[in-house]
Amino acid sequence: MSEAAVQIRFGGLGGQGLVTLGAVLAEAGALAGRRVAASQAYGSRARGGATRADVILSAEEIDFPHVHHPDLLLVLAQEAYDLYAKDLAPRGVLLADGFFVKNLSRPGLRQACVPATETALEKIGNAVTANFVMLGAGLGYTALLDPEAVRQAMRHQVNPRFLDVNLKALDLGLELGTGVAAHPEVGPWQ
Amino acid sequence: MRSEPARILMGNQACAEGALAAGCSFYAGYPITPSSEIMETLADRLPREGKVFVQMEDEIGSICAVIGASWAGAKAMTATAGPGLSLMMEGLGYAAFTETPCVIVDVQRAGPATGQATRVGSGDILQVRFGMHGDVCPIALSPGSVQEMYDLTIRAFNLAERYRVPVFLMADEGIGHLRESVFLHKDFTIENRVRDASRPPFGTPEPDGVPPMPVFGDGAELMITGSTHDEKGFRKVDDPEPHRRLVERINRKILDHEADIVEVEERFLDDATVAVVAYGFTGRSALAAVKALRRDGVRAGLVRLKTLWPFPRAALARLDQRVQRVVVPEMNRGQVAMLVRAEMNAEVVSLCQTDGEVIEPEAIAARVREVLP
Repeated sequence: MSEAAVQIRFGGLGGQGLVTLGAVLAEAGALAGRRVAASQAYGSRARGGATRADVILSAEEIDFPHVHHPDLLLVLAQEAYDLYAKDLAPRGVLLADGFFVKNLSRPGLRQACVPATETALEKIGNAVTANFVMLGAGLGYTALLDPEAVRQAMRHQVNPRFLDVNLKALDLGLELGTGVAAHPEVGPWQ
Repeated sequence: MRSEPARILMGNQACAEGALAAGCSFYAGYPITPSSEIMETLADRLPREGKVFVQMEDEIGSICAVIGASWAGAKAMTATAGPGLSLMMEGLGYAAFTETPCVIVDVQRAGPATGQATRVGSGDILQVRFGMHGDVCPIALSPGSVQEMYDLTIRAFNLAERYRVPVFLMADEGIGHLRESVFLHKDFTIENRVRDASRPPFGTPEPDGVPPMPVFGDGAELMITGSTHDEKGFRKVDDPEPHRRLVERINRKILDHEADIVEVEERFLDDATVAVVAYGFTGRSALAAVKALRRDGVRAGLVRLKTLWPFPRAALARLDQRVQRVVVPEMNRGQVAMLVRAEMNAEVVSLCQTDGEVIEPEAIAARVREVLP
């Protein structure tokens, strides 16, 4: 993997919409001119069970298309934190949904909680949109991609019936993300 | 020239797009993870194009419907995973012996039996060669990217038509569920069987020839049987010569055309002293491993097998002239390593992984370092 590549992982439970996030981020990356690869691992259950969705955004050809050590790890369940926090890249950043992840038990990481589900409940009234709040938070913090490319990918991939609430969720997340760099354990994205 | 901009698709979706581009007009299947997105895409798209999609009761019905559709003139396809492939074996032997063009996609998962449905494996490589009773060499291709899920699906249809055989696309969960950029280009030739009703449909003067294939309605008085048959299709269930002639021809029409069928990707071989031979998703791990080794001054090369059957013997003979050691990483117990060993004098080291996870580049690089001459 080249230095020019960023590895992103979404970790959570089946049914939280993580594979959708991966697919949207990959398409957005391609729209923004990056090489992309996205993969996922999930169980055979429709709901529940540890699930991850991985995305690589790269300036160069991607040889090995899976993520080993995410530079940005967005976690939406305690089980996923417990499973994936150890994989974080040395200078990587972990953002967790504070509603489901109560215990950032692994010491020495650049990590913080963001109120993704809380925001989804309070501002949208629908906890299911927390996945896009989380994606927004990650992008608001890192500025990895132009949010307009993400919106364009969402218009293509998200069911039109739920597009508006999810676009709103993304915007709320982008706002949350701008505050992350001020967190003492995290600091600015390199 | 790229005729369309790149799209981000899952490997399985790219396979379905390749099928549509190649002129697939009939799909029969039974959904199974990790192949279901192929069926899902074609269930939506084929009927819109006025073509036929059938969800069958099981995989036995699926392959039989595909064979029938092919004899009705369709370019027919099914997709499955290991458990479904096992059920199809009887029909596949029938397809090979009746010289029925069709495409079978196997998105391999972790087996045996039901195994782990959502996890990756590549344990079906020998099954498509030896799973059918009797003796027949199939054509089997191995895609190593989402782009190749598109390109090799098109090639599978063309080879099926050119040689009148079932062609297997041996994908795996890693490639089937990977999302990458893919160009759905149209710069390829679509091949079609020769529908000549005036010549015998089951024999040619050449011992490695492919007979024409009239379909029902072309006026050829077709008789199609899984029993041994002569050039016109008459059953010959006692005579040794027609049996020998037919068995030899259906094998020789593949084996004598290895140079036309087999494709490999050879990289970094010029000064290589050690090589990795890989296929499918593992080809990607191997490429990353070889590049990492080269950065450390190890003269490693890569041979990636895009064709698994007929087995790429000529490429391995070439490799044997160059290197003393070969590492074969596989998500099974060493199926292809066994075949490579039979073709090479170089020392062949098998790197097996059977935990339902992909093989990481680091594991391959580490094994190469261990065996360096």
